Amino acid sequence: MSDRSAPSRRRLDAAARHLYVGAATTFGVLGIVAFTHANQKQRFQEIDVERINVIASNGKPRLVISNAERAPDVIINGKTYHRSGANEAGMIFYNEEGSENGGMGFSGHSRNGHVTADAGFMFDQYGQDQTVGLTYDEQDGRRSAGLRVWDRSDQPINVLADMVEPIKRMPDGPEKTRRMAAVRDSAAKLGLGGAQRVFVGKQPNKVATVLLADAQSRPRLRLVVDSAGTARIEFLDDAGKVVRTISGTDK
Amino acid sequence: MDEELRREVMRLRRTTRVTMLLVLVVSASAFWQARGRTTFDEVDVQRINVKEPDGKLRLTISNHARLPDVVVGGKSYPLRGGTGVQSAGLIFFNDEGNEDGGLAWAGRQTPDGYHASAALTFDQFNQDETVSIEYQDANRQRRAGLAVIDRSEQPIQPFAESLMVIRAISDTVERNRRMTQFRESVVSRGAISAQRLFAGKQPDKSAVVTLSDRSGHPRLRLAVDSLGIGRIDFLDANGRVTRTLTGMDAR
Repeated sequence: MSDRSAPSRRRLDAAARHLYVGAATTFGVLGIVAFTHANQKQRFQEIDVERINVIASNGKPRLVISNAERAPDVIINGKTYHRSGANEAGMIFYNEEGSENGGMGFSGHSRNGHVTADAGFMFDQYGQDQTVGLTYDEQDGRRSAGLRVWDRSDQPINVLADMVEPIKRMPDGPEKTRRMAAVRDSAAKLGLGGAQRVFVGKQPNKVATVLLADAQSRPRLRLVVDSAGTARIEFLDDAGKVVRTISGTDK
Repeated sequence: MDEELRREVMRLRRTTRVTMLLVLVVSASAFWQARGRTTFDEVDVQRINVKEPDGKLRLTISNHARLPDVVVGGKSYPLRGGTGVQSAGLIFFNDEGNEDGGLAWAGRQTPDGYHASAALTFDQFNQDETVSIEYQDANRQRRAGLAVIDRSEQPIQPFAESLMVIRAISDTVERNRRMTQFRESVVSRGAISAQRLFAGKQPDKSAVVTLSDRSGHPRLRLAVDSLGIGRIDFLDANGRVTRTLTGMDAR
Protein backbone atom coordinates (compact mmCIF):
# COMPACT_ATOMS: atom_id res chain seq x y z
CA MET A 1 0.00 0.00 0.00
CA SER A 2 2.55 2.50 1.17
CA ASP A 3 4.99 1.74 -1.69
CA ARG A 4 2.29 2.41 -4.29
CA SER A 5 0.85 5.39 -2.47
CA ALA A 6 3.73 7.72 -3.26
CA PRO A 7 3.25 8.00 -7.07
CA SER A 8 -0.56 7.71 -6.71
CA ARG A 9 -0.55 10.52 -4.16
CA ARG A 10 1.39 12.67 -6.58
CA ARG A 11 -1.07 11.87 -9.31
CA LEU A 12 -3.99 12.66 -7.04
CA ASP A 13 -2.26 15.82 -5.95
CA ALA A 14 -1.74 16.90 -9.53
CA ALA A 15 -5.31 16.00 -10.47
CA ALA A 16 -6.67 18.01 -7.57
CA ARG A 17 -4.52 20.96 -8.54
CA HIS A 18 -5.72 20.76 -12.08
CA LEU A 19 -9.32 20.54 -10.98
CA TYR A 20 -8.84 23.47 -8.64
CA VAL A 21 -7.20 25.60 -11.28
CA GLY A 22 -9.84 24.51 -13.78
CA ALA A 23 -12.75 25.34 -11.48
CA ALA A 24 -11.25 28.65 -10.42
CA THR A 25 -10.61 29.62 -14.03
CA THR A 26 -14.16 28.65 -15.03
CA PHE A 27 -15.60 30.73 -12.20
CA GLY A 28 -13.32 33.63 -13.10
CA VAL A 29 -14.29 33.47 -16.76
CA LEU A 30 -17.98 33.17 -15.89
CA GLY A 31 -17.65 36.16 -13.58
CA ILE A 32 -16.02 38.25 -16.29
CA VAL A 33 -18.58 37.11 -18.84
CA ALA A 34 -21.42 38.01 -16.48
CA PHE A 35 -19.84 41.40 -15.85
CA THR A 36 -19.26 42.24 -19.51
CA HIS A 37 -22.69 40.90 -20.39
CA ALA A 38 -24.17 43.47 -18.06
CA ASN A 39 -22.63 46.14 -20.31
CA GLN A 40 -23.10 44.50 -23.65
CA LYS A 41 -25.68 42.77 -25.76
CA GLN A 42 -27.93 40.20 -24.19
CA ARG A 43 -30.52 38.03 -25.82
CA PHE A 44 -33.87 37.07 -24.35
CA GLN A 45 -36.88 35.40 -25.91
CA GLU A 46 -39.18 37.41 -23.73
CA ILE A 47 -38.80 39.69 -20.78
CA ASP A 48 -41.25 40.71 -18.09
CA VAL A 49 -40.47 44.12 -16.78
CA GLU A 50 -42.15 46.87 -14.79
CA ARG A 51 -40.07 49.65 -16.27
CA ILE A 52 -37.49 50.13 -19.00
CA ASN A 53 -35.37 53.26 -19.13
CA VAL A 54 -33.77 53.96 -22.49
CA ILE A 55 -30.90 56.24 -21.57
CA ALA A 56 -28.37 58.28 -23.51
CA SER A 57 -24.71 57.39 -23.00
CA ASN A 58 -24.50 60.30 -20.55
CA GLY A 59 -27.19 58.63 -18.42
CA LYS A 60 -30.01 61.07 -19.28
CA PRO A 61 -33.37 59.41 -20.04
CA ARG A 62 -34.72 59.47 -23.63
CA LEU A 63 -37.65 57.10 -23.10
CA VAL A 64 -39.35 55.37 -20.19
CA ILE A 65 -41.66 52.40 -20.84
CA SER A 66 -43.49 51.41 -17.69
CA ASN A 67 -46.57 50.26 -15.84
CA ALA A 68 -48.67 52.90 -14.06
CA GLU A 69 -47.08 52.24 -10.68
CA ARG A 70 -43.56 53.03 -11.88
CA ALA A 71 -44.49 55.76 -14.37
CA PRO A 72 -42.31 58.83 -13.83
CA ASP A 73 -43.64 62.19 -12.68
CA VAL A 74 -43.25 65.11 -15.08
CA ILE A 75 -39.63 66.26 -15.42
CA ILE A 76 -39.19 69.50 -17.33
CA ASN A 77 -36.29 71.95 -17.33
CA GLY A 78 -34.76 70.03 -14.45
CA LYS A 79 -37.82 70.24 -12.17
CA THR A 80 -40.25 67.48 -11.18
CA TYR A 81 -44.02 67.99 -11.02
CA HIS A 82 -47.12 65.91 -10.35
CA ARG A 83 -48.92 64.93 -13.53
CA SER A 84 -52.40 66.37 -14.15
CA GLY A 85 -54.52 63.26 -13.89
CA ALA A 86 -52.94 60.03 -12.75
CA ASN A 87 -49.73 58.49 -14.01
CA GLU A 88 -50.58 55.86 -16.60
CA ALA A 89 -48.97 52.80 -18.12
CA GLY A 90 -47.21 53.57 -21.37
CA MET A 91 -44.26 55.53 -22.64
CA ILE A 92 -42.80 58.93 -21.80
CA PHE A 93 -40.44 60.61 -24.26
CA TYR A 94 -37.57 62.95 -23.33
CA ASN A 95 -35.58 65.40 -25.43
CA GLU A 96 -31.78 65.72 -25.42
CA GLU A 97 -32.00 68.00 -22.39
CA GLY A 98 -33.81 65.33 -20.36
CA SER A 99 -37.13 67.23 -20.38
CA GLU A 100 -40.36 65.34 -21.05
CA ASN A 101 -41.53 66.07 -24.60
CA GLY A 102 -44.34 63.63 -25.23
CA GLY A 103 -45.69 60.22 -24.50
CA MET A 104 -48.29 57.57 -24.87
CA GLY A 105 -50.55 56.45 -22.04
CA PHE A 106 -53.56 54.21 -21.70
CA SER A 107 -55.94 53.10 -18.99
CA GLY A 108 -59.44 51.78 -18.54
CA HIS A 109 -61.48 50.29 -15.77
CA SER A 110 -64.99 49.51 -14.68
CA ARG A 111 -65.76 50.37 -11.07
CA ASN A 112 -69.18 50.12 -9.42
CA GLY A 113 -70.70 49.75 -12.87
CA HIS A 114 -69.03 52.91 -14.20
CA VAL A 115 -66.61 52.71 -17.11
CA THR A 116 -63.72 55.13 -17.42
CA ALA A 117 -61.21 54.69 -20.21
CA ASP A 118 -58.72 56.82 -22.06
CA ALA A 119 -55.69 56.61 -24.26
CA GLY A 120 -53.47 59.28 -25.68
CA PHE A 121 -50.45 59.69 -27.88
CA MET A 122 -48.91 63.16 -27.56
CA PHE A 123 -46.04 65.29 -28.74
CA ASP A 124 -45.29 68.37 -26.62
CA GLN A 125 -44.28 71.82 -27.74
CA TYR A 126 -40.67 72.49 -26.70
CA GLY A 127 -40.63 73.38 -23.00
CA GLN A 128 -44.42 73.21 -22.94
CA ASP A 129 -47.39 70.84 -23.00
CA GLN A 130 -48.96 68.69 -25.73
CA THR A 131 -49.29 70.33 -29.15
CA VAL A 132 -50.46 67.40 -31.29
CA GLY A 133 -51.98 64.09 -30.32
CA LEU A 134 -54.36 61.23 -30.84
CA THR A 135 -56.82 60.85 -27.98
CA TYR A 136 -59.64 58.57 -26.84
CA ASP A 137 -61.78 59.31 -23.79
CA GLU A 138 -64.78 57.47 -22.48
CA GLN A 139 -67.15 57.88 -19.55
CA ASP A 140 -69.93 55.27 -19.47
CA GLY A 141 -70.36 55.07 -23.23
CA ARG A 142 -69.87 58.79 -23.85
CA ARG A 143 -66.88 58.66 -26.17
CA SER A 144 -64.64 61.06 -27.97
CA ALA A 145 -61.75 60.05 -30.18
CA GLY A 146 -59.60 61.76 -32.75
CA LEU A 147 -56.70 63.95 -33.72
CA ARG A 148 -56.11 67.18 -31.81
CA VAL A 149 -53.77 70.12 -32.33
CA TRP A 150 -53.17 72.76 -29.68
CA ASP A 151 -51.49 76.15 -29.41
CA ARG A 152 -49.36 76.45 -26.30
CA SER A 153 -47.91 79.45 -24.52
CA ASP A 154 -44.52 80.79 -25.57
CA GLN A 155 -43.66 80.80 -21.85
CA PRO A 156 -42.13 77.62 -20.44
CA ILE A 157 -44.65 75.36 -18.72
CA ASN A 158 -42.73 75.71 -15.45
CA VAL A 159 -44.43 79.10 -14.90
CA LEU A 160 -47.86 77.44 -14.80
CA ALA A 161 -46.62 74.24 -13.15
CA ASP A 162 -45.05 76.21 -10.29
CA MET A 163 -48.46 77.88 -9.67
CA VAL A 164 -50.39 74.61 -9.79
CA GLU A 165 -47.98 72.28 -7.97
CA PRO A 166 -48.74 73.45 -4.38
CA ILE A 167 -52.47 72.99 -5.04
CA LYS A 168 -51.90 69.50 -6.44
CA ARG A 169 -50.30 68.59 -3.11
CA MET A 170 -53.46 69.65 -1.17
CA PRO A 171 -55.91 66.97 0.02
CA ASP A 172 -58.89 66.48 -2.35
CA GLY A 173 -61.94 68.58 -1.51
CA PRO A 174 -63.93 71.68 -2.43
CA GLU A 175 -61.11 74.02 -1.33
CA LYS A 176 -58.64 72.31 -3.66
CA THR A 177 -61.15 72.38 -6.54
CA ARG A 178 -61.85 76.08 -5.95
CA ARG A 179 -58.19 77.07 -5.81
CA MET A 180 -57.32 74.97 -8.84
CA ALA A 181 -60.09 76.63 -10.86
CA ALA A 182 -58.89 80.07 -9.71
CA VAL A 183 -55.29 79.36 -10.70
CA ARG A 184 -56.32 77.98 -14.08
CA ASP A 185 -58.46 81.05 -14.63
CA SER A 186 -55.64 83.47 -13.86
CA ALA A 187 -53.22 81.35 -15.89
CA ALA A 188 -55.56 81.60 -18.87
CA LYS A 189 -55.70 85.41 -18.43
CA LEU A 190 -51.89 85.50 -18.37
CA GLY A 191 -51.82 83.49 -21.61
CA LEU A 192 -50.16 80.53 -19.91
CA GLY A 193 -52.82 78.02 -20.96
CA GLY A 194 -53.37 76.49 -24.33
CA ALA A 195 -55.99 76.54 -27.06
CA GLN A 196 -57.25 73.60 -29.07
CA ARG A 197 -57.05 74.68 -32.72
CA VAL A 198 -57.94 71.49 -34.58
CA PHE A 199 -60.09 68.48 -33.81
CA VAL A 200 -60.77 65.72 -36.33
CA GLY A 201 -62.81 62.90 -34.90
CA LYS A 202 -65.99 62.00 -33.08
CA GLN A 203 -67.57 63.62 -30.06
CA PRO A 204 -69.71 62.31 -27.17
CA ASN A 205 -72.92 63.57 -28.83
CA LYS A 206 -72.20 61.07 -31.64
CA VAL A 207 -71.18 63.60 -34.27
CA ALA A 208 -68.27 63.06 -36.62
CA THR A 209 -66.55 66.39 -37.08
CA VAL A 210 -63.68 68.45 -38.39
CA LEU A 211 -63.38 71.51 -36.21
CA LEU A 212 -61.08 74.49 -36.66
CA ALA A 213 -60.82 76.98 -33.81
CA ASP A 214 -59.28 80.38 -33.22
CA ALA A 215 -56.38 81.21 -30.89
CA GLN A 216 -58.87 81.42 -27.98
CA SER A 217 -60.02 77.84 -28.76
CA ARG A 218 -63.45 79.06 -30.01
CA PRO A 219 -64.72 76.89 -32.92
CA ARG A 220 -65.00 79.11 -36.02
CA LEU A 221 -65.39 76.59 -38.86
CA ARG A 222 -66.99 73.20 -38.41
CA LEU A 223 -67.77 70.23 -40.67
CA VAL A 224 -70.30 67.94 -39.08
CA VAL A 225 -72.20 64.74 -39.74
CA ASP A 226 -74.48 64.48 -36.73
CA SER A 227 -75.97 61.45 -34.95
CA ALA A 228 -78.96 61.50 -37.34
CA GLY A 229 -76.64 61.45 -40.37
CA THR A 230 -77.21 65.05 -41.40
CA ALA A 231 -74.20 66.84 -42.85
CA ARG A 232 -73.44 70.55 -42.66
CA ILE A 233 -70.64 73.10 -42.74
CA GLU A 234 -70.91 75.89 -40.21
CA PHE A 235 -69.13 79.20 -39.83
CA LEU A 236 -69.23 80.60 -36.31
CA ASP A 237 -68.47 84.01 -34.83
CA ASP A 238 -66.34 84.69 -31.75
CA ALA A 239 -69.43 84.42 -29.53
CA GLY A 240 -70.12 80.86 -30.68
CA LYS A 241 -73.11 81.87 -32.85
CA VAL A 242 -73.48 80.02 -36.15
CA VAL A 243 -73.44 82.79 -38.78
CA ARG A 244 -73.63 80.61 -41.88
CA THR A 245 -74.61 77.02 -42.58
CA ILE A 246 -74.05 75.08 -45.79
CA SER A 247 -75.99 71.85 -46.10
CA GLY A 248 -76.90 69.25 -48.73
CA THR A 249 -80.33 70.79 -49.22
CA ASP A 250 -79.01 74.26 -50.19
CA LYS A 251 -79.49 75.25 -53.79
CA MET B 1 0.96 11.54 6.85
CA ASP B 2 0.05 9.43 3.88
CA GLU B 3 -3.46 8.94 5.19
CA GLU B 4 -3.76 12.63 5.95
CA LEU B 5 -2.79 13.53 2.42
CA ARG B 6 -5.20 11.04 0.98
CA ARG B 7 -8.00 12.51 3.09
CA GLU B 8 -6.95 15.97 1.99
CA VAL B 9 -7.11 14.91 -1.64
CA MET B 10 -10.52 13.28 -1.04
CA ARG B 11 -11.76 16.53 0.47
CA LEU B 12 -10.41 18.42 -2.48
CA ARG B 13 -12.12 16.02 -4.85
CA ARG B 14 -15.42 16.44 -3.06
CA THR B 15 -14.99 20.21 -3.09
CA THR B 16 -14.20 20.12 -6.76
CA ARG B 17 -17.21 17.94 -7.52
CA VAL B 18 -19.48 20.31 -5.65
CA THR B 19 -17.85 23.26 -7.40
CA MET B 20 -18.26 21.72 -10.84
CA LEU B 21 -21.85 20.86 -10.04
CA LEU B 22 -22.45 24.49 -9.02
CA VAL B 23 -20.85 25.72 -12.23
CA LEU B 24 -23.10 23.36 -14.15
CA VAL B 25 -26.21 24.57 -12.33
CA VAL B 26 -25.25 28.22 -12.83
CA SER B 27 -24.56 27.73 -16.56
CA ALA B 28 -27.70 25.67 -17.03
CA SER B 29 -29.87 28.24 -15.29
CA ALA B 30 -28.23 31.05 -17.26
CA PHE B 31 -28.97 29.12 -20.43
CA TRP B 32 -32.54 28.44 -19.33
CA GLN B 33 -33.00 32.08 -18.43
CA ALA B 34 -31.78 33.19 -21.83
CA ARG B 35 -34.26 30.85 -23.50
CA GLY B 36 -37.35 31.46 -21.44
CA ARG B 37 -38.89 34.54 -19.90
CA THR B 38 -36.86 36.81 -17.74
CA THR B 39 -38.27 39.14 -15.14
CA PHE B 40 -36.90 42.50 -14.10
CA ASP B 41 -38.27 45.27 -11.93
CA GLU B 42 -36.44 47.91 -13.91
CA VAL B 43 -33.75 47.94 -16.57
CA ASP B 44 -31.57 50.70 -18.02
CA VAL B 45 -30.65 50.17 -21.66
CA GLN B 46 -29.34 52.18 -24.57
CA ARG B 47 -30.99 50.00 -27.19
CA ILE B 48 -33.49 47.16 -27.47
CA ASN B 49 -33.76 45.09 -30.67
CA VAL B 50 -36.95 43.13 -31.21
CA LYS B 51 -36.18 40.28 -33.62
CA GLU B 52 -37.93 37.42 -35.33
CA PRO B 53 -36.79 33.88 -34.36
CA ASP B 54 -34.53 33.88 -37.45
CA GLY B 55 -32.75 37.00 -36.17
CA LYS B 56 -34.46 39.48 -38.49
CA LEU B 57 -34.83 42.90 -36.91
CA ARG B 58 -38.43 44.16 -36.53
CA LEU B 59 -38.10 47.05 -34.08
CA THR B 60 -35.37 49.01 -32.36
CA ILE B 61 -35.92 51.20 -29.32
CA SER B 62 -32.87 53.31 -28.67
CA ASN B 63 -31.17 56.54 -27.75
CA HIS B 64 -29.72 58.70 -30.52
CA ALA B 65 -26.18 57.29 -30.50
CA ARG B 66 -27.44 53.75 -31.10
CA LEU B 67 -30.09 54.45 -33.76
CA PRO B 68 -29.74 51.77 -36.45
CA ASP B 69 -28.58 52.64 -39.96
CA VAL B 70 -31.24 53.06 -42.63
CA VAL B 71 -32.01 49.61 -44.10
CA VAL B 72 -33.60 49.59 -47.57
CA GLY B 73 -33.51 46.83 -50.18
CA GLY B 74 -31.87 44.59 -47.61
CA LYS B 75 -28.85 46.88 -47.36
CA SER B 76 -27.68 49.23 -44.60
CA TYR B 77 -26.93 52.85 -45.36
CA PRO B 78 -25.31 55.10 -42.72
CA LEU B 79 -27.46 58.02 -43.89
CA ARG B 80 -29.21 58.89 -40.63
CA GLY B 81 -28.25 62.07 -38.88
CA GLY B 82 -26.04 64.69 -40.46
CA THR B 83 -28.73 67.26 -39.69
CA GLY B 84 -27.59 67.83 -36.11
CA VAL B 85 -30.95 66.68 -34.74
CA GLN B 86 -30.33 64.13 -32.00
CA SER B 87 -33.53 62.10 -32.22
CA ALA B 88 -34.12 59.06 -30.06
CA GLY B 89 -36.95 56.60 -30.49
CA LEU B 90 -38.34 53.58 -32.24
CA ILE B 91 -37.57 52.36 -35.78
CA PHE B 92 -39.92 49.82 -37.39
CA PHE B 93 -38.88 47.16 -39.93
CA ASN B 94 -41.11 45.10 -42.24
CA ASP B 95 -41.01 41.31 -42.62
CA GLU B 96 -38.21 41.70 -45.19
CA GLY B 97 -36.09 43.56 -42.66
CA ASN B 98 -36.44 46.92 -44.43
CA GLU B 99 -37.26 50.09 -42.50
CA ASP B 100 -40.97 50.91 -42.72
CA GLY B 101 -41.56 53.62 -40.17
CA GLY B 102 -40.64 55.04 -36.84
CA LEU B 103 -41.40 57.16 -33.83
CA ALA B 104 -38.73 59.69 -32.93
CA TRP B 105 -38.38 62.91 -31.00
CA ALA B 106 -35.79 65.58 -30.29
CA GLY B 107 -35.51 69.05 -28.83
CA ARG B 108 -32.82 71.31 -27.44
CA GLN B 109 -31.44 74.80 -27.27
CA THR B 110 -29.26 75.85 -30.19
CA PRO B 111 -26.84 78.77 -30.56
CA ASP B 112 -29.65 80.82 -32.16
CA GLY B 113 -32.62 79.67 -30.08
CA TYR B 114 -34.02 76.18 -30.05
CA HIS B 115 -35.10 73.37 -32.33
CA ALA B 116 -37.61 70.64 -31.58
CA SER B 117 -39.30 67.92 -33.62
CA ALA B 118 -41.24 64.72 -33.18
CA ALA B 119 -42.95 62.32 -35.55
CA LEU B 120 -44.72 59.02 -35.77
CA THR B 121 -44.39 57.90 -39.37
CA PHE B 122 -45.36 54.91 -41.45
CA ASP B 123 -43.54 54.42 -44.76
CA GLN B 124 -44.87 53.42 -48.15
CA PHE B 125 -43.47 49.97 -49.08
CA ASN B 126 -39.83 50.40 -50.16
CA GLN B 127 -40.30 54.17 -49.96
CA ASP B 128 -40.43 56.99 -47.46
CA GLU B 129 -43.10 58.19 -45.03
CA THR B 130 -46.68 58.13 -46.32
CA VAL B 131 -48.61 59.05 -43.18
CA SER B 132 -47.38 60.82 -40.09
CA ILE B 133 -48.28 62.72 -36.98
CA GLU B 134 -45.64 65.37 -36.62
CA TYR B 135 -44.43 68.44 -34.81
CA GLN B 136 -41.73 70.75 -36.12
CA ASP B 137 -40.57 73.83 -34.25
CA ALA B 138 -37.65 76.17 -34.86
CA ASN B 139 -37.69 79.30 -32.71
CA ARG B 140 -41.52 79.45 -32.46
CA GLN B 141 -42.07 78.69 -36.14
CA ARG B 142 -44.35 75.76 -35.48
CA ARG B 143 -46.12 73.17 -37.57
CA ALA B 144 -48.05 70.29 -36.02
CA GLY B 145 -50.62 67.86 -37.33
CA LEU B 146 -51.43 64.87 -39.48
CA ALA B 147 -49.90 64.58 -42.95
CA VAL B 148 -50.56 62.08 -45.74
CA ILE B 149 -48.04 61.93 -48.56
CA ASP B 150 -47.86 60.29 -51.99
CA ARG B 151 -44.45 58.77 -52.63
CA SER B 152 -42.73 57.75 -55.83
CA GLU B 153 -43.63 54.42 -57.45
CA GLN B 154 -39.89 53.82 -57.72
CA PRO B 155 -38.09 52.16 -54.80
CA ILE B 156 -36.01 54.39 -52.56
CA GLN B 157 -32.88 52.19 -52.69
CA PRO B 158 -31.21 53.74 -55.80
CA PHE B 159 -31.84 57.11 -54.15
CA ALA B 160 -29.94 55.93 -51.06
CA GLU B 161 -27.11 54.60 -53.25
CA SER B 162 -26.74 57.96 -55.01
CA LEU B 163 -26.80 59.80 -51.70
CA MET B 164 -23.99 57.58 -50.39
CA VAL B 165 -21.83 58.37 -53.42
CA ILE B 166 -22.50 62.11 -53.16
CA ARG B 167 -21.89 62.24 -49.41
CA ALA B 168 -18.52 60.56 -49.91
CA ILE B 169 -17.27 63.45 -52.08
CA SER B 170 -14.74 65.35 -49.96
CA ASP B 171 -14.76 68.61 -51.93
CA THR B 172 -17.61 70.71 -50.52
CA VAL B 173 -18.30 72.72 -53.67
CA GLU B 174 -18.35 69.61 -55.84
CA ARG B 175 -20.52 67.77 -53.30
CA ASN B 176 -23.10 70.56 -53.21
CA ARG B 177 -23.10 70.80 -57.02
CA ARG B 178 -23.70 67.06 -57.34
CA MET B 179 -26.44 67.19 -54.68
CA THR B 180 -28.28 69.95 -56.56
CA GLN B 181 -27.89 68.05 -59.83
CA PHE B 182 -29.18 64.90 -58.15
CA ARG B 183 -32.26 66.66 -56.73
CA GLU B 184 -33.07 68.12 -60.15
CA SER B 185 -32.76 64.72 -61.81
CA VAL B 186 -35.10 63.22 -59.21
CA VAL B 187 -37.70 65.88 -59.96
CA SER B 188 -37.30 65.54 -63.74
CA ARG B 189 -37.78 61.77 -63.48
CA GLY B 190 -41.08 62.47 -61.73
CA ALA B 191 -39.92 60.63 -58.63
CA ILE B 192 -41.20 63.39 -56.40
CA SER B 193 -43.39 63.18 -53.36
CA ALA B 194 -46.63 65.09 -52.92
CA GLN B 195 -48.40 65.95 -49.70
CA ARG B 196 -52.06 65.10 -50.28
CA LEU B 197 -53.56 65.96 -46.91
CA PHE B 198 -52.62 68.05 -43.94
CA ALA B 199 -54.76 68.68 -40.85
CA GLY B 200 -53.10 70.84 -38.26
CA LYS B 201 -51.57 74.20 -37.58
CA GLN B 202 -49.03 76.08 -39.62
CA PRO B 203 -46.22 78.53 -38.82
CA ASP B 204 -48.49 81.47 -39.81
CA LYS B 205 -50.68 80.47 -36.81
CA SER B 206 -53.55 79.24 -38.94
CA ALA B 207 -55.46 76.03 -38.22
CA VAL B 208 -56.08 74.23 -41.51
CA VAL B 209 -57.28 71.18 -43.34
CA THR B 210 -55.64 71.13 -46.77
CA LEU B 211 -56.40 68.63 -49.54
CA SER B 212 -53.94 68.66 -52.43
CA ASP B 213 -53.65 67.21 -55.93
CA ARG B 214 -51.14 64.62 -57.08
CA SER B 215 -48.53 67.31 -57.66
CA GLY B 216 -48.88 68.48 -54.08
CA HIS B 217 -50.76 71.70 -54.96
CA PRO B 218 -53.47 72.60 -52.41
CA ARG B 219 -56.87 72.53 -54.19
CA LEU B 220 -59.27 72.73 -51.25
CA ARG B 221 -58.36 74.46 -48.02
CA LEU B 222 -60.34 74.95 -44.84
CA ALA B 223 -58.71 77.50 -42.58
CA VAL B 224 -59.16 79.57 -39.46
CA ASP B 225 -56.39 82.15 -39.54
CA SER B 226 -54.45 83.79 -36.71
CA LEU B 227 -57.23 86.41 -36.33
CA GLY B 228 -59.94 83.77 -36.04
CA ILE B 229 -61.47 84.25 -39.49
CA GLY B 230 -62.78 81.04 -41.04
CA ARG B 231 -62.79 80.41 -44.78
CA ILE B 232 -62.98 77.63 -47.34
CA ASP B 233 -60.90 78.15 -50.49
CA PHE B 234 -60.98 76.25 -53.77
CA LEU B 235 -57.71 76.66 -55.67
CA ASP B 236 -56.51 75.90 -59.19
CA ALA B 237 -53.28 74.09 -60.08
CA ASN B 238 -51.39 77.40 -60.05
CA GLY B 239 -52.35 78.20 -56.48
CA ARG B 240 -54.95 80.82 -57.48
CA VAL B 241 -58.06 80.89 -55.28
CA THR B 242 -61.04 80.36 -57.60
CA ARG B 243 -63.80 80.33 -55.02
CA THR B 244 -64.04 81.29 -51.37
CA LEU B 245 -66.73 80.62 -48.80
CA THR B 246 -66.77 82.64 -45.61
CA GLY B 247 -69.18 83.32 -42.76
CA MET B 248 -69.81 86.82 -44.11
CA ASP B 249 -71.18 85.81 -47.52
CA ALA B 250 -74.81 86.71 -48.15
CA ARG B 251 -77.03 83.67 -48.25
